[in-house]
This record gives sequence, structure tokens and C-alpha cells, in this order.
Amino acid sequence: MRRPPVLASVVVLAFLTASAVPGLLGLPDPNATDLTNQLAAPSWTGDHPLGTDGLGRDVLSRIVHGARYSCLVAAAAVGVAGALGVAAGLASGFAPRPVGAAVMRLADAALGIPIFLVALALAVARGPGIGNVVAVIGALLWAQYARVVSAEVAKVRRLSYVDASRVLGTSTWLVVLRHVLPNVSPTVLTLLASQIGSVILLEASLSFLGAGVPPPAPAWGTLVADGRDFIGTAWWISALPGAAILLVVVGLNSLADWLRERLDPRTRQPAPAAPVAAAGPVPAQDLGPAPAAGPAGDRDPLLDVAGLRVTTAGDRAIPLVDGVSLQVHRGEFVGLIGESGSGKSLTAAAIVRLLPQSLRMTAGRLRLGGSDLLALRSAGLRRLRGGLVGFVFQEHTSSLDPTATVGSHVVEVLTTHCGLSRVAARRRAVELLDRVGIPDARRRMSSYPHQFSGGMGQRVALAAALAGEPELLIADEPTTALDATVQARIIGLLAEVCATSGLAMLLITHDLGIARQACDRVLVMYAGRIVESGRTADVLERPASPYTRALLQALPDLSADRDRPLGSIEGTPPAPGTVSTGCRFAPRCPLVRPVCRDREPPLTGRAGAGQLARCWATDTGGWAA
Amino acid sequence: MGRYVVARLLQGCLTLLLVSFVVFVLTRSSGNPAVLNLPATASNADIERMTRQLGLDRPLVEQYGLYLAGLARGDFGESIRYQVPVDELLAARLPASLELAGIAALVAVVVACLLGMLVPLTGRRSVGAAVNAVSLAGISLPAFWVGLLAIDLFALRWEMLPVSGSGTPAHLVLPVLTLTLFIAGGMTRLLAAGVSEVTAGPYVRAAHARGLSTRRVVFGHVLRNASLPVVGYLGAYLPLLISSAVVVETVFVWPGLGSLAYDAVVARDFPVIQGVTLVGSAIVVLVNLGADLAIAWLDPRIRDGVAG
Repeated sequence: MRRPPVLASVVVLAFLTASAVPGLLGLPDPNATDLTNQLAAPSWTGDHPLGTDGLGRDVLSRIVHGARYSCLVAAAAVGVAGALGVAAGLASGFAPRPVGAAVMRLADAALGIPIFLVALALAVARGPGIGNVVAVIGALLWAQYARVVSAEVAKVRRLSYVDASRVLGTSTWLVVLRHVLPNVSPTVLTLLASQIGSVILLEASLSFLGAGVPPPAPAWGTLVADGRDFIGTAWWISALPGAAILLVVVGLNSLADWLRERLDPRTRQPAPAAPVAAAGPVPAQDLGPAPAAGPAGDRDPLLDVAGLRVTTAGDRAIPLVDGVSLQVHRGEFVGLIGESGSGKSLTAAAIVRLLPQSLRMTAGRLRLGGSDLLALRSAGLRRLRGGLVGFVFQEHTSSLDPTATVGSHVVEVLTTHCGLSRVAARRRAVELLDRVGIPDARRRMSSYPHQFSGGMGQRVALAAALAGEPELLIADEPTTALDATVQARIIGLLAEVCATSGLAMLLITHDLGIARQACDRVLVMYAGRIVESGRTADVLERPASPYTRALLQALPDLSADRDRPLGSIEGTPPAPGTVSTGCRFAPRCPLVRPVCRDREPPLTGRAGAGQLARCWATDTGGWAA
Repeated sequence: MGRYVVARLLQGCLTLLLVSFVVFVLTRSSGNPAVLNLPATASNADIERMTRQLGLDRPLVEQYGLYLAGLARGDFGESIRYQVPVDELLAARLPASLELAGIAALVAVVVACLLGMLVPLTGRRSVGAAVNAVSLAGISLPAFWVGLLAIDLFALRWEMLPVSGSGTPAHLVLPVLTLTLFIAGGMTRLLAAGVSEVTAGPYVRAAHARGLSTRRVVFGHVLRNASLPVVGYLGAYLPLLISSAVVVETVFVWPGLGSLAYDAVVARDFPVIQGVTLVGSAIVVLVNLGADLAIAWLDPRIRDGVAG
């Protein structure tokens, strides 16, 4: 969020004051000619601080008095346009369909009218005048408001509460007043603010050409035109009024920018993702527990993460991922499970150091296939992303560029990572699309993402992820957006492809069923922490942490008694930044004990081989389950 | 696609009809329109002859029909100042306007793309702030003032370039620069906004996750998507652009339609300003049609009729 533009506000305020009370500075009459004092240069000590024009009139006084015309025309024109446009937009939204459509057609046609030329024509037909300018600008700018308002009305109308109040018999006008206007006003206000600057420029241009505010009124455009005959001899006559226009328009436009940012909810989101986020040294206490032993004999995991921390940037570094350690061995399928907001997707992004700019990460160890990711610079990271690690995201509509063909997504990975020529890459891309089960792959290469169904799109994303011949596939909620039947098929495909090529997979999901179907091992995350890990069978059959148990109870089970209510976890996860010395699940935990609120339990060994859990209550060393 | 083009063409015709109607109302709103088509020195007999010639004694609807039929034949009347048919004047002045505006637009596109891409390529906030400030100044500068200052400095003081007129490449420099400032300012703002929205989007993150270089991501994915709103806003932006073009031509005495319009304002030459307005509207309609086609070319979702 940017700071309020103080300077711009001061400029605009000065402008408004000048237009309201131009006599404030005790300046001479702006139209008083003084033929003994023509073309006097600006001098702070003389009578004319900004000099005089060809008729000896005081330039400063003319500029100050001129503010009134710009202000008047801009306010009146934008007012007329706004009123007309809002009325037309509301009418088109609520009137019977043909009327509304006709109004919008008219608005579209009006948007294409060159206002400036019509204003010139009007000035020729009726002589220059302020009324002309206001009428033309107002009559032709309304269409923009009409468009914005009618779009907003359509949006608001789809909201159920508006329908509800109509059903309840509220009159249309009350609906408009209560629901539509408050929703529309930020947009209209922003448009208003951003138009005032252009309207001032339009009026000044018209006055400059002698088709706007008629002389002798000292409108700014007229002042600049007055100096046209004296450029080269008396620069101040046109340069200074022009500078006034520039100042005011810049001021108004920056205010409009600020207002737009304030009112637009989208700009309040965090900063865009950066290709590389900083990684720094890590204090020793963040290293977390020693790595648990993986499958027998393999002491050199493919992916080895220890003490991974992701925090927000800034003074109050709120931890979002807090000391996560995990290993994935070659060919192993590991599930990372948790509710949304538990930090599992951030963990995955942090592994390839692809975090939004607003976040910071640190880690004790971050190794992948023998290279130290913390030491890599951007070129090395790029080789790794898409090369050693393939990514599949939630929806193909969000991971594929809508304006690029599906084939090009696969081809660009091949040319980047495998050094193939474009021709060879295209051939290989067809093979890959065929491999992931896209029928008629050669023809589908030139299709666009929106022409694919969700399942087919994920196949394309998988093909692009496989193109760089990775050793690890990170799949971030790959089936969440899909139908249940397609889900199973895509998970099956992922598992089959990885198994045949010997790929390891890190599968991020909130769905225990999917984890059970596909994973050798699972890790359960809660509020940025690993709370349990171990072989899938151990963790999901004999969960040692109350959180995992609660997740399992919330899972619908076709074989269970259907009269028994489906479990759900009471309460909500703690908001990031909540300070607690105890177990983070304690406020929601059915097994909570006093110690849980004081001290956070460490990950300790449990019944299953390599099974770890973070819970005082189920720790057999301390408490009975 | 064909239906799309036809729909857009019909829309354009509607705009032209609306403009002709507005101009028609203008001519009738100021007393006897015959007076508008005659010099101030015309006698009463002249006015009466013109009244009959323009069909002003017939019903209004018929008058509008006659007026439209005349326009369709390219009959815009005769210039009061130059005493020649307006369509000849328009045909003589149009090429110079297209030359100036075309070159300025081309330069502006290049400048806007360079500035707009600076932010994602460098990834620096300070660069973004600088680009923002420059483009804000660009849209806030009064073109006529910039033109006068440019003449004062470059032509009169330093005598590097000609003051005004046309004919050599040197004559093009100042008018093109002045017009470019304004066009590039607006384009850069739209493009930068589009870029920041696109780079925050998931498919750009996905492209980074596939290990593409920043340059490849920016030119392969960001630019195309971010240029969509720029082309889309062209229609709303064009009317402002025309005002700059007219004042720039006037300041530099460029022999195009803009300075012709200024002459018409000074001489109160209604037939000429009417012709310029209609030709200007036709240009706007064509440019908008081009912009719509460009969007369809850039965005396959529009081509398939799927809402973007």
C-alpha cells in the first residue's frame, strides 16, 4: 500500500482554493491591460512576479484566476457525465432486457465518438462557450460510467441477497439504493477521479484552439495560446500557465491512482511472486529433529530438507512454515497432508525457492539430488526447476498460459532443459502428450488450454512437468479441482508414470483418501509444523497424533455406519502469528492436558517403524493414550 | 470469427450514424443551417438559394435522409474559406495526419513495451516507481504546451530543428516526440498495470517452476497477456489521443486534418469541421475494429467466443 500523496493533495488543494477565491492573494485585475508594461520579465521584486503578457496583463493573476475555469468545466462535465451514466447504467441493469440492451449498444457506440472533434464542430456552429464544452464532454463521457455501472449491477444482481430482497417484495428502487449504489460507488468514484485530469486537459486544448472558454476569460489553454506569438522572446507567457496545468493534472492523477489502490481490493493482495526469494543463514535451534531413517539402506535421500522456515517479510516476521524437516528418497512417494493454510504448499514452493516476494525463507539444510539449493544462484535454480524437479499445480487453467498452445508449454521446457531443437522438441512433445494419455496428441498440440477439460489439462501439465526428465515430481493438490471420478484416474496416472520412470513424488493434498491410495509415507502438517510422520499404513491406521485422528474421523467412509454423524474438527486453526508456547493444536484437542498449553511437544518415536508424532498425550514415554 | 467481425462492423456503423446525427443536430440547433454553409458576407438571396439547395424547406426526417445520402456520396459541401469541395481538402490532408500519428504510435508502442517490461525483467520496486512517475507525467502533459516549449528550446534557442512545417525527416522529430510522450504515457500505464497483474498470476509462477529464464517468461508469456488490456482500452483512449494529435498538428503547422480543423475553427468554416469530424469518427471506428481483431488474435478464448 502506497502512502497518501501529500504533495499532490497540497497542489490540488491550492488549485481548489484559487478557483474558489482567486482574490485571496490581493492580485491585480487579470484583465487590466497596462500598455506601458508589456512583456515584463518575471521578477520577484517587481510588481509582476511572473511577468506580464503582450497587453501588459499580470501573468500570475491570470493563472490564479484561470483556475476557476478549469475547475468549473471539469466539475460540471464530469458531474453531467456521471449523473447521466449512472442513471443509464442502473436503467440498463434493471429495465426490461431489450431496453437495457439498447442503452448499452448506444453507450458502446458513444464510446467511439471523437469528443474533441464534435466539440470543435459545436464551437464553429454556435461560437465558443463554456456551456458547449460542458455539454459535449458530459454528453460523450457518460458511456464509460454507464458501462461500469451496468456491469456492476449485473454482478450485484447475481448476489443472492439482492434476489432475496426482491422476492421479499422490496421495490426495485429500494434495492438500488440499498444494495447497488454502495457496491457501485467505489468504482464510479475511481472513474470520476481518473477522468477529471483528462477533462482539464481536454478543456485546455479546446481553449488553446479558441474553441473552449471564450476570451477575455483567462482560461489556462487561452493563456498558453496568448504566448504563442512570443515564444523565443517572452517564454513565461505560455510556459508558466502550461506548468500550472501540468502540476494540477499530475496532482489529480496521482490522487486518482492512490484512490484506485485504496478502493480496489485486488491491490491489497501480497506482492507478486518472484523467481528467487532470499535464503539466509539459519540459527541452530531451527534445525529440528534429526532426520528419520528412510527405507532401509538408503542414507542419501533425493530431497533433504531440515529446519525450513518461511516467514512474512518485515519487522514482525510471522512464521508460516516453522521448522519443517522432510526427506524424499529416490522412487519414493511421499504425501504432505494438511488443511488449507497449514503451510504445505508454501513448503513445496520453498523447496525450489519460488516464494512470493513478500515472504522470506531460511533453512538449515536444503539439498536436492546432491546439490545445495541454498548455495545455488538463479541460473542454477532454473536448471533445477523443471529439470530435476517437475511441478504440477492445482488447476491447468492456472498453470498454463491461456494465450499459448498446450504444445508450446511442453516444447519450451524441452528446448530450455534438454537442449533440443524446436523440431525435435515438437516430436518429443507429441510423444509426451501421448504418454500421459491425450488422444490424438499430434493434432491437440495446437489446441489452447481452455479447449481442454480439467482432467485433460492436468495431463498436459504433467507432460510439461515430465519433459525436463525430472527425478522428483512435486504435485500440489493436483486433483482438487477435478470431479471425483477423474481424480482417481489422474492420481493413478501420476503413480503409474512415476513408478515406470523411477521418479519420486511429493504429493501435497488435504485428501487422506488420495494419500492412502498413492503414498508410501505421509507427513501431516498443522499450523506450519509437522505433527506426525511415518509409513502411510502406520499413520492412517494407528495415528498417534490427535490431529491426524481428527482428520481421519472427518473422512467419509463408505463402509461405516451411515447413521453416525460425520466427524468434524471443532474450532479453527490458529491465525498465523498467534503466539503460543504450547502445542498449536491444544485449543481444539480432545485430549488436551495442562502441559500441552505450556510446552510444545517434540516429535517422538511411536509404534510404527520410523513413525514420529508431536503429542504429549499419546507419548507412551510420558502419558498413556 | 466471421460473425464477430460482422457484429463489430455493424457496431461501427452505428457509431458513424450517431456521429452524423449529432452533427446534423448541431447544424439545425443554430438557427438557419444555410448560414453555416455561407461566408458572413452572404446576401439574403444567397441564403435563400442555399436553403433550397440543402432542402431545408422539407420535413426534418427527409432532410436527415438527404444529408446522409450526401455524406454517402462524399458530399460534405464546399469550404467557406478555401472555396473548394471539402472532400478534396480531406483527401489532401489525410496522408500527412496518418504519417504523423502512425509514426508516433509506432514509437510509442516500442517505448511502452520497453518501459513496461523493465519492471518484471529487473524485479526492482524502484524501477517500478520510476516507470510509474514517467508515465504519469506523460499522460498529464498538455501536448500544446510541450510543443511550444520544444519549439522554443530546440528550434529557436538551439536551432537544431525546424520550427514547423513538413517535408524532411527533421520536420518530423518534434511533432512525433510531442505526440509520442502522450501516447506512450498512457500505454505504459496500462501495460505496467497488466504486467503486475499477470506476473502475480499462477501461470507465470508455473512457468518459473518449469525453470524458464526470466526473459523467456516475460517475452513468452507476460507480454502477450499484459498487452490485452492495452489493446482493449485503446477504444476508450482514442478520443483523448485525437485531441493531442489536433493540437500537435496546430502547434507545428503540420499539414494534416488537425491543423485543417484549427483553420476551420478560426475561419468558422462549418463544412470543413463537419468533414473532419466524420472522417475522424470513421478512423476511430476502423481503429477500434482493428483493436478488436487484434484482441481476438492475441487471445484464443475470445476467438472461441469464451469469455476471457
